[in-house]
Amino acid sequence: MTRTQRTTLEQGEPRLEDAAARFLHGFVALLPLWIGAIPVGIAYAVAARAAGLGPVQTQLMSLTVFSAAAQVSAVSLLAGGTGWPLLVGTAIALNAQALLLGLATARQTRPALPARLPAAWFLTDGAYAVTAAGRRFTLAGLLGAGVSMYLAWNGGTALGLAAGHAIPSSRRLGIDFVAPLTFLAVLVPLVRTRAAVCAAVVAGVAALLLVRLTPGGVAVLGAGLAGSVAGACWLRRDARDRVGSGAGAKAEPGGSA
Amino acid sequence: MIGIILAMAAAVYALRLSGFLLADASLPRGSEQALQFVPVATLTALIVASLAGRPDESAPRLLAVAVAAIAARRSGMAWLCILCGMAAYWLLRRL
Repeated sequence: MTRTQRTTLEQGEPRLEDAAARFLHGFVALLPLWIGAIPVGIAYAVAARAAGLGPVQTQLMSLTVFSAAAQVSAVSLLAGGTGWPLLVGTAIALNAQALLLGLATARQTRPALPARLPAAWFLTDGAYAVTAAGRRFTLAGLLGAGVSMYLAWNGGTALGLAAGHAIPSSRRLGIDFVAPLTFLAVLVPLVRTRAAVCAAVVAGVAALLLVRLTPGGVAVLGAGLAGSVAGACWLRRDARDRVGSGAGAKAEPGGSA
Repeated sequence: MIGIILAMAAAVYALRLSGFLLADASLPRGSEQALQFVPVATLTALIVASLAGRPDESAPRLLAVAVAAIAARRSGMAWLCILCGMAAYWLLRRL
């Protein structure tokens, strides 16, 4: 897309073919994460069958819950005979960071209400990360990445149902390491200012402490909040110092996507 | 069982939607500044939580993350960061 095209788009109504191009761009951008999602989908399906779920139930969970962390933990809890309140609670706790991702997405794209419903359905860490890594953060791009992950996750589940026992364990190969590397690829270009470094350091230390105490999503949510507040405090202190020394109190640009 | 699955699905969807709906609410002063750091802080937390989830492999993973971070900083390309990170990880694991 050329610069002039983008300018006219920002002024006028977004065109359909442009949204389609962004959707496709998001879809393709998420493809590297397929090599992580498909093996985990297979492993989930195998574990679900072993825990006593039928094939329809196993696939239905991937189609509706669409969260690797929640599903894998639910299956291991089911195998231990846990009741439904704890299963639902764990699903919430493991996805608590989705609140922040949704908030950040809506603030950046300002979507109309009907557009938020499907966008929220497909919102995952991976889709958010690859969209944030792109040149522009758009809702169409996020949807494309989300649908891409949805296909990989459900395809992996179906593969696991069909031939799970015949496929070697992905945990031994360490394929799951692709996910944090993807997050890192997005993170590094965002950390450009001291305030952003402060936010990252505080979030990292907080996450390290919190993962020992709480389920994954709650730890990430808590650490995300702590880091964001720390970054804002740094900005405010910086601005105050500059006013005090007589220089212009121009706020340091933050590390937003 | 189907009921439990649908209850989990509803809970996760509500969570994913809540951020989108909260964005319209008037947030307390100062939170706008904090919001711009949400991506940085959340991504860092996700990486740390993922590394902490595999204490059996913390040394090769930490070193590989360092290699990948340097690759990302030098090249600015996401795929090179992932490729270098995975290559370093597999290499270090064999040592």
